[in-house]
Amino acid sequence: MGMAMTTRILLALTAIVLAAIIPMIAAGAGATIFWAQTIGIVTGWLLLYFAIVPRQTNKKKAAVSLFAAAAVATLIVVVLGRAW
Amino acid sequence: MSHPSLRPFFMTVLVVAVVLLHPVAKVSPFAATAAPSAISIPSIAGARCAAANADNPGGPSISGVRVVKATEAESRLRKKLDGPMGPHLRRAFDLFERRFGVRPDINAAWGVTGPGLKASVRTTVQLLPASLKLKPVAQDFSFADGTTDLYYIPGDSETDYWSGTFDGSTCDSGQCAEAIINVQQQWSDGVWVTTWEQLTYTDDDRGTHHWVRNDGTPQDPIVLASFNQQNGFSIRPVGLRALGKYADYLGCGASRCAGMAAGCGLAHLWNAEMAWAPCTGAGCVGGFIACTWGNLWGWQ
Repeated sequence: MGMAMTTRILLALTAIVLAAIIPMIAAGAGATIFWAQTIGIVTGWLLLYFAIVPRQTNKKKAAVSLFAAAAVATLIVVVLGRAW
Repeated sequence: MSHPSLRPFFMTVLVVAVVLLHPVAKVSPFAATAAPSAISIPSIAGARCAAANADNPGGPSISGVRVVKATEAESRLRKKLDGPMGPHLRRAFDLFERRFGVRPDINAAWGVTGPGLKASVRTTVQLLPASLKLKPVAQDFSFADGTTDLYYIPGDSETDYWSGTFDGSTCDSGQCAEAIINVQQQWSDGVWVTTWEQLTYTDDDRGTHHWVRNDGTPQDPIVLASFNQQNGFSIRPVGLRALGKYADYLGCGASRCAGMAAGCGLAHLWNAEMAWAPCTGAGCVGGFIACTWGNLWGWQ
């Protein structure tokens, strides 16, 4: 059973707000800009993805896949030398 | 009651919250190890400044004076740098950099402004972490009207050490006086050892708008700035600022998008149910939003 459209919209909005606010909180807690952004991105990403694609046969596997994708993406950005 | 499909989200939020709430020491060249007690702002127009700022703890605030900081202070100083007094300030910054090895940072400047300052040639500014208060020590300034600004532009601040530029100016009936003072203080053997140079652009008996440059010595009676403080402290008010690093922002967002595209590709290979396009799209959106931090806005 999928989520109602209202729930999905609220989830997406929450994702966007958290992606913007969490880096500020993380930076205030002492994180570097890079990790503050990364924490914000991963949080926003997970919420936004499940808002867009709520139906997952194996939800646990989907969540693990997303975390793996996040880890790989972060690793790639780190390895690329944080070009910005 | 939550829907089962929302559990991963809540778990994620919980994990992130635990990580964020874990206490981590913030490392900053301006980190405070003790609250600042008081700062004597140097007087304008070359007049002498009250040194014993501890004499007036908890004094009354000056009415008609406003503290400016963060982007407003920076904006006002940039206007000043573009105005007729700009070359003076730039010259002072050059001298400061030559002497102390760092350039005062107007992005971190703060100041006080307003008609209430016009009668306060001797002014002590008390900085507290929670609130900024102004406390007059003496009022013997001869300017009857006009506007007065006092700015502090930090160079560096560490434990038992600070340096920066004070810039004071006042204008009255078209005549302006200005004093710029580069100051360095180091706590040594129970006293603050001060190194300073004063650049005064003012009217005196040698003519109008005459430059006066003095290099301070410990014996000199003029005390330009004094922190009644024995430890490290922050003299840089932190605030949210618009940083305006648009190129960096685009680079950050694009890098994150590329990373997400690759990560989502691998995730899709492992779990076919993981759709690449929404995964990458969500990552790009999150990336461009989170990248605003540190590039378009941030604590400074």
